[in-house]
Amino acid sequence: MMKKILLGSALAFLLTVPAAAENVARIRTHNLGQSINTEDIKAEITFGKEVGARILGKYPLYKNDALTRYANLVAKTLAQYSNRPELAFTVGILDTDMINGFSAPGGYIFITRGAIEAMNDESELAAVIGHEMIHICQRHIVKELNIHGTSDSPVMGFSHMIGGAGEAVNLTFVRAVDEATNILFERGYKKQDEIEADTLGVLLAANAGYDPTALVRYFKKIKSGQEKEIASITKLHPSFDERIQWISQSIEKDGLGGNGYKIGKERFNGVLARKD
Amino acid sequence: MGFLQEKTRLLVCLAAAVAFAGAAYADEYHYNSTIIGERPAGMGGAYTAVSDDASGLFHNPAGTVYSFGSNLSVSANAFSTSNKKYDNAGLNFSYERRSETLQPNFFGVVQHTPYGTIGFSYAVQDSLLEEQNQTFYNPTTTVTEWTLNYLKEYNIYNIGPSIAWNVSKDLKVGISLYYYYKKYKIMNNSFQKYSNTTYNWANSLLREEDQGGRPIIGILYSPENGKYAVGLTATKTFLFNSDIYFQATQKTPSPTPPTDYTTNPYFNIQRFSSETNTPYTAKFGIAYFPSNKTLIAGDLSYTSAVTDIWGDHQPVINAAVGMEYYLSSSFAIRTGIFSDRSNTKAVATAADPEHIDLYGISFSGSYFVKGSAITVGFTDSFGSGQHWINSASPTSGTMTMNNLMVFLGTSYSY
Repeated sequence: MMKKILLGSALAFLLTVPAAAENVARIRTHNLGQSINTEDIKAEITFGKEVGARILGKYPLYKNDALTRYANLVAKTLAQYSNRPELAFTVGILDTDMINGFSAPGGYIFITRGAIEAMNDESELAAVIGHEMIHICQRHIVKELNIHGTSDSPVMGFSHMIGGAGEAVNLTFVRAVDEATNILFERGYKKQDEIEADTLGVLLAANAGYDPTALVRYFKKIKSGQEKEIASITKLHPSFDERIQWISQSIEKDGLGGNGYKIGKERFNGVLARKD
Repeated sequence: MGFLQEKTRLLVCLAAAVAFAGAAYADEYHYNSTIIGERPAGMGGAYTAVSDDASGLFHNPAGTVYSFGSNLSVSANAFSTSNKKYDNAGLNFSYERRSETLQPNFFGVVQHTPYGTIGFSYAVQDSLLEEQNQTFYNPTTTVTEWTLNYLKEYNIYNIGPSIAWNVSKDLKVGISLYYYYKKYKIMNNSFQKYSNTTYNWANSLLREEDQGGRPIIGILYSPENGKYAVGLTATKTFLFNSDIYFQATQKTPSPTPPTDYTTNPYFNIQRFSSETNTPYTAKFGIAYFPSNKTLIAGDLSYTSAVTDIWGDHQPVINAAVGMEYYLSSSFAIRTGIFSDRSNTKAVATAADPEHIDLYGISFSGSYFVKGSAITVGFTDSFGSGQHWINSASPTSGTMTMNNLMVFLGTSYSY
């Protein structure tokens, strides 16, 4: 059964990765510099799996099927409005009191149990997932580490490693994963990337029908929380006040005010109360 | 048996229509009248091995796997005109028919999903609104005045979804499943005044509506990291409904009814639901991408012979060659040459439809801003051939034809 699932996943991947500019020749001049090809996406996913494994090495998964399924459904809803339909987004919940979220390239999102327990409703969950999803969609880590699948990449083409490659490529790959882990746990993303993740994440959630003010509400709530629980998020991100300010400006600029957005309080509380 | 009876009846009626008003078939005898899509149109339709954007949904769905991100394309015929001149339509006069249409001819959207590259498109494969309004004075020794009013509407629409898969690094396959709708209508009015002050007035209407399914199956093989590409497509329309309606009215100068008719004035309405056969078309294309700036492509298509309720249609081979060149990162030009050959045989009798092979040129320019492009261009096809449009004429005549399409298109990748 597991074999079938793996085979199905492999086949789905094989059939789905867009081959836009699978080779340099087919890329038209006006698209140069913007292209992501099949090999790039394969490399991004392979790289993301490795980074995801590092995250799971640091924090175990929280075993709550109902909550995990729920978070994945919210992510699936948001993914419909993303610009990366070729990626299958997956959410894992990390079993720690700490409040934070992480994302690994290729579609892997991790939210801590502490972060979810601090939330009031589904729109806040969507806002946090949306933030992480934008880091992935905009390829923040991928761009910063210049990860490509083709052999002219500075990191020597991870696609070669996928098919089996020499020690030098493996070493480069491991170093790149180390660097990504360093961004996630020590250094944090660039400020511009965080602004983009916050503002586009809110827009993504609003497009899916969620309350655009949810992330602001969430930040206002957690910023006065226990110092130990928010130590990680404050270390890796700009201040809550700064973030609240640029999100509010973005909401106003994009004309996202008004009523009619989803909050999803009852459903959120219902799932949170379940222990299966 | 029923079909043969209906066919015989219809042919009699059509013969009557021709006799009444000098009506003739027109451009349903070409398969390449409109080149779909902003980029293919600029390249003369040489697109089977390229097809890497939303236009590819119509030309070769397999190629859409190569489309850059999600892609949306809209193109419009800003102006489409067709002129036909039939010399020697009678003893001393010519017929002139002109079509002018303004119609969006393509909309397509492509998106990469976990299940494959999916798309949806709408393509107006043919659009003609042809008119003839002429009065001839003393066209024969007995007729002092002959007024002809002729209107023909001919549209073919395709609408439906597509899906394509990345089978391997070099091989892509895809299929478009179109709902096919054809609307064809001819209205004829003829008034002849004789020197003895009697007259002959005839009026006819022929309308055909076909509905069916039209799959386009495509393969694209692109070895050598995509520097070369070979494309292959096959398509055929499977009709599930064909409704043909014919109405004719005539008042002749003689109190005695003409041989074929039982009354004077004569009035007749007939309706047929006979399935019309359709040909299959196979296309083979090659493309060469020597650099990011340049693309050279060629197509060869074969449409099979078919016998339908209207008669025999010959097999047709068409060819196209096109190229694309970027003058800068924000401006590209395209040009091409193509053929649009007739599916009729050489004219030998008055019953034969016109025969004219067309050859064309195309040119377009695209301006790119970030993910969007706007394209302006034209295609022009022309040729000369033979007709026997007026069965009363003693011989066949020569004819010329010119199709000009000025198009405007826009596309967006996101």
